[in-house]
Amino acid sequence: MLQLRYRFIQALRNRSGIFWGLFFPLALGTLFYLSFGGLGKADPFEPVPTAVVGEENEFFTQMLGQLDGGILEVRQMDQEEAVQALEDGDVTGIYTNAQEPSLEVAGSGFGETVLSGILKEYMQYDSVIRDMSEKHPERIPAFIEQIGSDTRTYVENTSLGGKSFDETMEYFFALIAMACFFGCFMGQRLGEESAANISPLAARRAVSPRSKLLTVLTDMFVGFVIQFASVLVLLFYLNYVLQVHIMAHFGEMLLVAACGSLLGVSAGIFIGSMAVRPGVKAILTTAVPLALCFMAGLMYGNMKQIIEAKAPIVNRLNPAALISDALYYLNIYEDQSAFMLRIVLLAAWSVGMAFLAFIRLRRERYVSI
Amino acid sequence: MDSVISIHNLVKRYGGVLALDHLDLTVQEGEIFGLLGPNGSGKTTVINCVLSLLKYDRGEIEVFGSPMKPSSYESKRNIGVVFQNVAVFEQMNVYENIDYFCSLYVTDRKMRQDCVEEALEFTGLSDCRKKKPKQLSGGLLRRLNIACGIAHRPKLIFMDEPTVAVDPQSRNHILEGIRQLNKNGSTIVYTSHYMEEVEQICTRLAILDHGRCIASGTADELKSMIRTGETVTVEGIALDETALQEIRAMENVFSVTYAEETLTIKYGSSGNLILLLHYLEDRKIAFGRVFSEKPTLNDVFLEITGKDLRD
Repeated sequence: MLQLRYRFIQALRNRSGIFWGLFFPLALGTLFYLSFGGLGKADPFEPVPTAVVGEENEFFTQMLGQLDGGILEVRQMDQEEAVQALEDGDVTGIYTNAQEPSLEVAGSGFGETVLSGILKEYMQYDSVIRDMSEKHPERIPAFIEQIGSDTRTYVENTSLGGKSFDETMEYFFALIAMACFFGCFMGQRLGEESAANISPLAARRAVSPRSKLLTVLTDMFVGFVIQFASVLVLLFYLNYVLQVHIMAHFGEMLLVAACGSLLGVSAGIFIGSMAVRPGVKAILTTAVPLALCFMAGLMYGNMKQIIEAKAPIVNRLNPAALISDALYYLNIYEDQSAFMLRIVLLAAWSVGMAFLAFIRLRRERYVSI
Repeated sequence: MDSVISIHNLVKRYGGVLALDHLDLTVQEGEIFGLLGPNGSGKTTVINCVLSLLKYDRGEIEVFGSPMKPSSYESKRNIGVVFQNVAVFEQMNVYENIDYFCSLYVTDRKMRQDCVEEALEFTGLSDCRKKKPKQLSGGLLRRLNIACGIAHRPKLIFMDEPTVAVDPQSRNHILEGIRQLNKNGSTIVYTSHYMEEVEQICTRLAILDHGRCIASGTADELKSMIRTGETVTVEGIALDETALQEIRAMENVFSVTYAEETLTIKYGSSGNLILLLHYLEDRKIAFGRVFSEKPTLNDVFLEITGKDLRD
């Protein structure tokens, strides 16, 4: 227990490891939040309040009726009331229900985009409806219902799980992946302090009567616990302080954080135990995680989609993309099977890297010191 | 006396370089055994092989009568190591560092506390117990390095050049401490390339060169093995060839060198200075500083290998 206590003390007082593993991701998360103006919030979808003036176009009236209570909250008003409601912000836009319907909005935003989209869609079908009114007027109600249904489906598919339309979430998910990988810094130090061919400190530990197996397992456990705790702090900070809602599935989130932390720390231990120049290690612990996170969308949110389109296998192999994808499927799509695939691949990475790190540190005698 | 370390026919290669060449060594209980040799002679490699940190190509190593392996925990429990490079945790203070390394050997809390206090006292670090290694001077840092290696009261202590880059005051403190540890019952293996230090504290020593033990014994035994009994140096002297011939022909003289007005004469025995001074007085030869030296370990190394130990 004393060994464990002292290893925790050593690791927790390692300022560099704690900074990169904990404080840097918190700072970057805050920066993202401020840069995106709080767009990371995953607000549930609310119907768009809409004023309708006039009832001249029967087909348009029918279509709005189909959408009322779904994506729209339709309020029939006269012109004066509608203008006042728009000025007061009670409604997002005013449809003038004439033979050729029109839309008046006071600003730009999600609601305005929805209203504009509906009108455009109606206009696309307008000529079909006119033609149909002459030849098969009995089919018009069914056709309009179909249009309404299509519109609802479109909106529902993009809201996926009813959580968010916000692509900036990709940045936060990539940030969580980066936080996991920055366990490399702590892992590197632990690795160096356990490989007798790397540091005198490790040599001093190696000549003690303590089993190497126990020493290695203690180090890996300490690194994992601290990194896991750091990632949890980040998750809580994002969720409760910045209000980026990512913790609806707490158990699954813990699983992602655990696998990611184990992978980060193990990779660091593996790098730390390598008998290469310190500069090479610094490059490996910094550049590799950042490159993987870049491909997962840390610096450019759409990068993962670009890779998915060009070379999807890269996203299946890149552990940062696996973390980001797993979080996305968990929080946005709520697709358990896709999430499970990512978590299994990520777990394979983590266990494999932990095994490699263990094998490297397990060595008791060296060819050269 | 029982042998604490027994090394037989030890061969270690680093690629194509032969670092230890069929080395045989024995360290007896209660000794301060010195391993002397120039840099790269194999001193640290021997220690790392004995500690089972290095793989070796051939040979047998026994410590406390048992073959030494990485899993020889019982033997390791009684071994302390002071590495050449300071090996402490920067994040922990002096007390925590000693306590941590001691805890690798001593599990009983009370006993460990006693050990740590004793090590602090022994190394003169009691007043620095709360300081971080960064706050210590070079000498104090070396002492901390020693404290971490000896706190668990080992029976066998390896000290690999513990006085490198240490101020004279700390060096004396360290050397005195080594004697004290030996008096308290520890066998000590001490490596250094400072021959004065080795001569000062070691009861027996081995001289290594190119991974081979070229001589071993007490300092006096080693010195008696060589031809030099006394070296007389005369500075600021002008000599012609006749005088040099006469000096070469003097009793006990076996080597005379003269360069840059400095005369160096090696005698096969001691007590030759008076005769030389009488000769110079009779010939009315002026001279500056004169001094006589007994043979040193450097002379031993020089005579055996033909090169200077300091090189």
